[in-house]
Amino acid sequence: MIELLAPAGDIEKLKIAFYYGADAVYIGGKNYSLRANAKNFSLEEIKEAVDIAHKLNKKVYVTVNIVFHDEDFKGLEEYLMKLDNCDVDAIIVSDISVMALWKKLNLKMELHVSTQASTLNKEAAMFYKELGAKRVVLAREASEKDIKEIKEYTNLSLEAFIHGAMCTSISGRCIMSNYTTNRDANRGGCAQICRWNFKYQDENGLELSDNFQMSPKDLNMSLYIKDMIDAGVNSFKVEGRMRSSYYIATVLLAYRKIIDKIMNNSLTNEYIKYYSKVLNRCANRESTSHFFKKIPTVNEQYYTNSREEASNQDFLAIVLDNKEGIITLEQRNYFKKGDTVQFISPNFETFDYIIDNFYDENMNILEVANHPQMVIKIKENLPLKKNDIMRIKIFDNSSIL
Amino acid sequence: MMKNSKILIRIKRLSEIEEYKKLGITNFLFALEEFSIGYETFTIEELKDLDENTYLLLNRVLDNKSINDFKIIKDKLSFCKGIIFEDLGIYEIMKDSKIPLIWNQNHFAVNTSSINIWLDKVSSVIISSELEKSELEYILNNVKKEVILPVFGFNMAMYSRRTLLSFYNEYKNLKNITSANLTTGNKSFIAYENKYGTVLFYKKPFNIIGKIDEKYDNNIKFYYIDPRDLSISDFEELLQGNITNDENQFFENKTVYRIGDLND
Repeated sequence: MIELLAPAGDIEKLKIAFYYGADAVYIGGKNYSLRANAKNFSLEEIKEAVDIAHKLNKKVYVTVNIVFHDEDFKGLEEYLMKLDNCDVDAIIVSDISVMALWKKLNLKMELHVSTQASTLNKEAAMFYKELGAKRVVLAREASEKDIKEIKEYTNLSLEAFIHGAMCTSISGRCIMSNYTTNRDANRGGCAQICRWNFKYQDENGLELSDNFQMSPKDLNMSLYIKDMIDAGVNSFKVEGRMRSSYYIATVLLAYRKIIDKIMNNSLTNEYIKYYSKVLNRCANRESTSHFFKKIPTVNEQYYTNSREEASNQDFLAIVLDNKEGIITLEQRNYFKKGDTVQFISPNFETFDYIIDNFYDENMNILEVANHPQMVIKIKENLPLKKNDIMRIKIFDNSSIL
Repeated sequence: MMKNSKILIRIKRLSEIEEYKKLGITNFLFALEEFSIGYETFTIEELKDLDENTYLLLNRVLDNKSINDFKIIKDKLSFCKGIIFEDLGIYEIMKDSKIPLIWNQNHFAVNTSSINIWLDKVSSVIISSELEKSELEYILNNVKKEVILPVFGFNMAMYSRRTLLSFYNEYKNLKNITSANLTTGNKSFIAYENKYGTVLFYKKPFNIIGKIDEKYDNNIKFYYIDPRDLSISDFEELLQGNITNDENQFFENKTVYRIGDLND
């Protein structure tokens, strides 16, 4: 089984994720999840998410992956039973007490072990298998060789991150946020201290630098998906429950197409190169494969004074409707008549389009689209569907068509 | 009053052992070479004939190669009184051995339920030193077996598989050092690096000696002390309550995890 697994911060992003090719999504409830400051899902929304997913023959996993303090257990048993009643497909867990509770309650949803548990070897994976886990989300530090050996030894379903931000630390082994902000990283309060600048002194107090950095580049496994499949990875996980819809759409689309091309044996180097460029641009951060092929070196780190992460302005509009030759879009960023843009969709390869006449809701002609979420209409016969995206033309893709 | 015979102390140099024994301390913790990070390490050859109450610290998160290496040496560890492990692979390998095992999954021993689940599996558990006093007392009051309580030491604040100091030194063309001070705002960390990665310890020690009610003593197997740079005389001062360069941030304040809770 090969699964593309997406983050979903809310119902709209969940729909985007499924539309752009996710086989499953992982979401957080209002409590017990490691993105404590994200919007997250109420139980009613979780039920809605599961209903949407199951109608599409897709899955929903819910993170219950904080490391609990005693006071956090209040309501957990009832919550797990409700998740089970919602027909959630699995919970993602790091704390052994939750694993034990899952077993005690005899819940039908699967138990997946969170990456917070830092599973990096076959014996640790076997420990979780014996507890009843169906799947282990591997530590981000797992190499190709580690993955193969864990798979051969345990035959567990293996989930691995393929794209997104990386912790400097082994997941679960960092409390810098606790020290600097009093926010508990292992209960969802991480303030990303590893991306801050530090004064750097030797043991004797001699200052060597005032901007020591330890932040890694992002993860991008687009070059190695085939190798990951061969190593035994079953679920290919994209990081980012707090990411934008555009990011989710772009990243999911790229990996969906790469996986599908692998499965039908038509993937070319040109295709991978094109989508690697798209992926790199999407987050405005450099990315690399980190631990899969080798232990990271100096080249896998960031050493800039600032993170140079200007927000991405590529997302111009999302398609709301396409009926009788009129395409209705909702604006996200400024564009104007004469701009060359691209449409992306899971239904066709990205194509270029030069904006000619376009109109407001009342069919008054416009020269510019300059208000966020303004409704735009274009008279054109294009094969667009709801949730297709119009973006700036970022790269020429003629070489892959 | 904490009895010295119930202290488990981490050893930096073998020569310290006799000095500690003069103080009535008889339980010694040694970080095992190749399986530990952030501490002075010792080989099996150095430890096997010590004839002391020797406990081994294995605090690395291990890949398959290291797990396979551990399987090769596991039968040479019968000299020790206990193995304190971070990686659950060590438990899986050693669970049927006669050597007592002690769960020490950094940052995870923070609730009674998990601790008691582990106490069903192992000899003891090291309680996290990131707990507020009432949280800690609740755990000490409800554990089903004796646990190990860290009372003085330096919290490991971060553990990376990356050699972060070497990377930065290489990038900036600085002399290569493998330990350093890192400061952001008013918070300082001490970084140590070896070939297996980098760890950051919070620079100020926690110190709860004398701050836990004696009624919990029956539930405490050892009081764990990591003296790091303390000399023997400073250590004696510590036991007398005369070392004050400490910071009990977590013991005195509960951590929160929602931004809105920060001012509560």
